[in-house]
Amino acid sequence: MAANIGDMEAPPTQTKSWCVQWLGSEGDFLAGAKRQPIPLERLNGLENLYAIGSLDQRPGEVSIFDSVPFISEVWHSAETIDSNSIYRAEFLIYAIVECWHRNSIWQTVEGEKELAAALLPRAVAEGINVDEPFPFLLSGYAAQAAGGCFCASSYPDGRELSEEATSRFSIEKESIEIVGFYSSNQQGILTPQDSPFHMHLRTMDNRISGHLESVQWEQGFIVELPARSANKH
Amino acid sequence: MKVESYGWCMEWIGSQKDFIAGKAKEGISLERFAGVENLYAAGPLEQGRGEVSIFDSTPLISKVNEATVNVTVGYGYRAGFFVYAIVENWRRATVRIPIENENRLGEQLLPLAVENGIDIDRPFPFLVYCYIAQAELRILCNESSPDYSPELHEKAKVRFPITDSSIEIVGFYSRHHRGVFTPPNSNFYMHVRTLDNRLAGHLEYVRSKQLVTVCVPGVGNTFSHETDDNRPNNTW
Repeated sequence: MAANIGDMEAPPTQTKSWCVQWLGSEGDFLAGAKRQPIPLERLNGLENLYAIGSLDQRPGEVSIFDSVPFISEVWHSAETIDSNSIYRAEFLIYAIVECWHRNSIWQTVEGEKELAAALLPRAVAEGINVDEPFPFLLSGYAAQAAGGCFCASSYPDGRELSEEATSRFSIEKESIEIVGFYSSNQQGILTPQDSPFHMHLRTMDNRISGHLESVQWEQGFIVELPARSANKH
Repeated sequence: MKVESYGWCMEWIGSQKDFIAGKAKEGISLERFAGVENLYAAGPLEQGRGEVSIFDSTPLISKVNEATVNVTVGYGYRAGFFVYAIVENWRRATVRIPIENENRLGEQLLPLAVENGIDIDRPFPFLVYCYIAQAELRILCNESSPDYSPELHEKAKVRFPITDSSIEIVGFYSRHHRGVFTPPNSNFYMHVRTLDNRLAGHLEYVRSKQLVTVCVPGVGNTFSHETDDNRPNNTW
């Protein structure tokens, strides 16, 4: 896929009908390794785009749900979401998926192990190679979810990120949508070092968006996975 | 009647007109649909005792009990008429404008359907989910035993407001089936559930806030990715 954004490296994971790509790595971002940032305006006009990443030059997150960008910024302890301003990401994973296969899961799911147990068999059934990165969507009424801005240990300009400037959220009993990526072989690149999942959340009322650290479902939820290629039917 | 297309199908049993007129003597057993995957459906329970709304094979049965909505899950019921679709894959489009009425919904839905190869002169199913400012839900609550009739039908309607909630809608569109499965004055037949499954039933009207996701049946992913694509850098 020639989804090059500038001249930055863009290792692709391909299937015939959808793709996952990433620019930079979470490990480099956290280590403060400087990369050429990605202006998000270059994504403008792309359809069926799902992405998550971290902002350049400022503590914040970008979460793109079906081509709609949500920016969560931490600035003087005030978290805001803005869908209109122009931003750059230092690290971005993205997928273009036209068509999704829906599954309802009517069981309590808590923690990444249980989520993996619910997600992976369904991904395999949909013909997805789970040894390679793949995107997924989760939605429903969450019993609990928590996360925040996944910020580098220091600002690029050297200022320490104060405790007050970090932003964490914890919600209970609220409807949410999650865009996530699973990768068992790129931990520290696409996902945190200790997890095969990298997920961002938005509340359905668009009040909160950002990096998701934990989620608990008690009343069931919907999983969406990239549908098989049309020519495989 | 049945509409079949590549990767999805839609069918209806009985009609709204016959149901309201009391001509639907034998209810439609929902048990025959237990085990059907990727099922989306809507209809009233027989004799107007409540509503059935099926989202991805999960049957939500809504009844009114002492002026409150009681939603349970189960296939052990019979419907007065029933419209359903089996859809494997959905194509999504998220719009950034509020949807305030059926016309606005049609403006978003129909182009998406056409773009995905759906013949909009034939019935098709759709899904919508969003955060709403306001909606109205209707559940039939007929407690009488005589034959169902238009008078009983009107009397059985109990309406509930929904405000500031996240909802999902299962809907069926047709230009040519008024009184069959869409109301006499509309091309849309829609049921709604709140995402917490606290409320479900027939949707009378909806006014969403910004960001509405509309889904129509999709045949599967067709987008082609090539690593050696010669498009210039910095473009997609």
